[in-house]
Amino acid sequence: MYGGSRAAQLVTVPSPSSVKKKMWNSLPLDVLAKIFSFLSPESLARANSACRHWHRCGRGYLLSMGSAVTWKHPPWFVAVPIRSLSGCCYVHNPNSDNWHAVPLDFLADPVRLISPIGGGLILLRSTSTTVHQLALCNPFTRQYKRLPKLNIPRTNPATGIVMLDPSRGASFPAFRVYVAGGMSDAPRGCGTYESTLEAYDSARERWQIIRPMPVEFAVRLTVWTPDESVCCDGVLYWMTSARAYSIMGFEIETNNWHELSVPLADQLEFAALIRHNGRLTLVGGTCSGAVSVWKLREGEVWSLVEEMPRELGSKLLGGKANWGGTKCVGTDGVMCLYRDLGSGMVVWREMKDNGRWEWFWVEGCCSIRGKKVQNFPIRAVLLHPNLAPSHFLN
Amino acid sequence: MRYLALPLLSQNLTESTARAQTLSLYLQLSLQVSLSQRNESTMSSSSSSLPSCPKKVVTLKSSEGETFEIEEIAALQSKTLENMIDENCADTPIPLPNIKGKILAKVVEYCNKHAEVGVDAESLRAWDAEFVNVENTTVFDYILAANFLEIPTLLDLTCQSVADMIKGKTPAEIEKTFNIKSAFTPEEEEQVRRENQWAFE
Repeated sequence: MYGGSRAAQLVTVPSPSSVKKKMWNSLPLDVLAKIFSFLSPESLARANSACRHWHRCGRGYLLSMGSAVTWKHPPWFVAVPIRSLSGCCYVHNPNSDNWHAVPLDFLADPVRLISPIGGGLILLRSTSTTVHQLALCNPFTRQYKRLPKLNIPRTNPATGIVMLDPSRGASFPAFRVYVAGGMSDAPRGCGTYESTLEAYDSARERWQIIRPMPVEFAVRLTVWTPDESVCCDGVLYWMTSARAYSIMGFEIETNNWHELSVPLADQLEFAALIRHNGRLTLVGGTCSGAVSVWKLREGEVWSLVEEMPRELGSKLLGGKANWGGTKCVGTDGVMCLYRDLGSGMVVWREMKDNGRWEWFWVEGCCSIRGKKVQNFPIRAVLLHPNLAPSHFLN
Repeated sequence: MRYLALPLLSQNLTESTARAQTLSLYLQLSLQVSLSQRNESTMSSSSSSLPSCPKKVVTLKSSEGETFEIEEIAALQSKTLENMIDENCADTPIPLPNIKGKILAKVVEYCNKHAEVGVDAESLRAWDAEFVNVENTTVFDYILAANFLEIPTLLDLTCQSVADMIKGKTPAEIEKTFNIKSAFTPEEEEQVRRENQWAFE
């Protein structure tokens, strides 16, 4: 009589005595998931603990990733102590401006942080072996998984991450890890520079050797390159600090390598590459005490876009003589410069309401819930905490 | 009710033609009046006045059998009702046996407000804030109604307000506010605590 599927779904009227029972803990999962989508991670964690129904919804509700999703909440600063002595990582909640300690006791190995992967996952290097061994982890779901061994074992290569476009039908998470250079064990017992590149694809879950690279690049990537990489427009970039800073770029489609110069290369005391509004961005501190931000424009030209306010710079320096030991992380919408866990950090963030970028100071983590926290040296990433366990990490 | 195309009475008409025209006019008028009277009797008692120009109206029936009228343009905010209107199934009262009259009245009020033209965003936001400034049991009913009727703006508004109720509360406070029992086994309790301990103040 009535067309449409909706009118046909006649729901029986609940009797008065059962109305009280059909309440919040039996709300349809998709509606509850919508409510949860408005919650920031710490509120979601508390909601997860309320009852079994809410727990199932909060943990099964997977925040999808990719540029199609607009994040309702800002990313969190996640700091992993370099020598993981405390058994915790320390995360900064940007909504309430306080720190939480998230236990890492579920890790199978001592680790060193490399890079965020997206969807709340982190790429780590297991430090229980000198041979390069990578692993994935999500501190909020207590999941840890080692990646398979490399085809050619090596020590100290450069590691790069490329997020794959999820819309191409790839399931979450879709990424590729590149390992370039490193030292391999030669038969005579002394190492040689390994000039092959290997790639790990999350879909195939195995490593593949890609054609060799120029030896001088392999040397630079082995000796003078930290693990952070930035991928922009199909090129994977690493900052190398061989005397003067320079940038190595690897074009993924063509497998070609090239080098980029760095502005004020010989004056920089620290330099880091980040991705800022989709473009390759360089953040560096000079001996004069200034911290500048440059963006790479068309024709591989750097242009100065911003300078950190001096008073924030001095606060970050904290009386030290130079910028050595300063690190920088950035993602679309926010950038953080930091040193140690307790020393505080400078944040440059896009304000949601007016789209303008502002600088401000964030106090370091000195105590959590009244207990003093040691001032660990740290490596940090910016990520959106994902409380839903990933099938990939099982 | 349709407007009559009233013919102009020309000055040069003969008396008989004038009488004929007047009679014809009278007949048309009385026909219109009796038609509108018939429409009136089928309209619900909660209708306040005759529509002054041709507006399609949809009738909704609550779980207790009470009927509520909503203009088609306001009803289009509900994807459920929109589908029924498109499929020409909205000419008879639509039964909504899982929505109480008290709630349905408010949902109609919401749709009417959001179909109004010329309301500035600021005052609409304030109106929305007042709309959800009610007992959380009522918000619960609004959510279920908005979900069933597929009204995305109302669903977002009500879900956000519940999220705001959850924010800043400890799990114990959440359980109290929403009257839910945790019902975890001791093992589950231990696992849940381990997962989420970091977030507890």
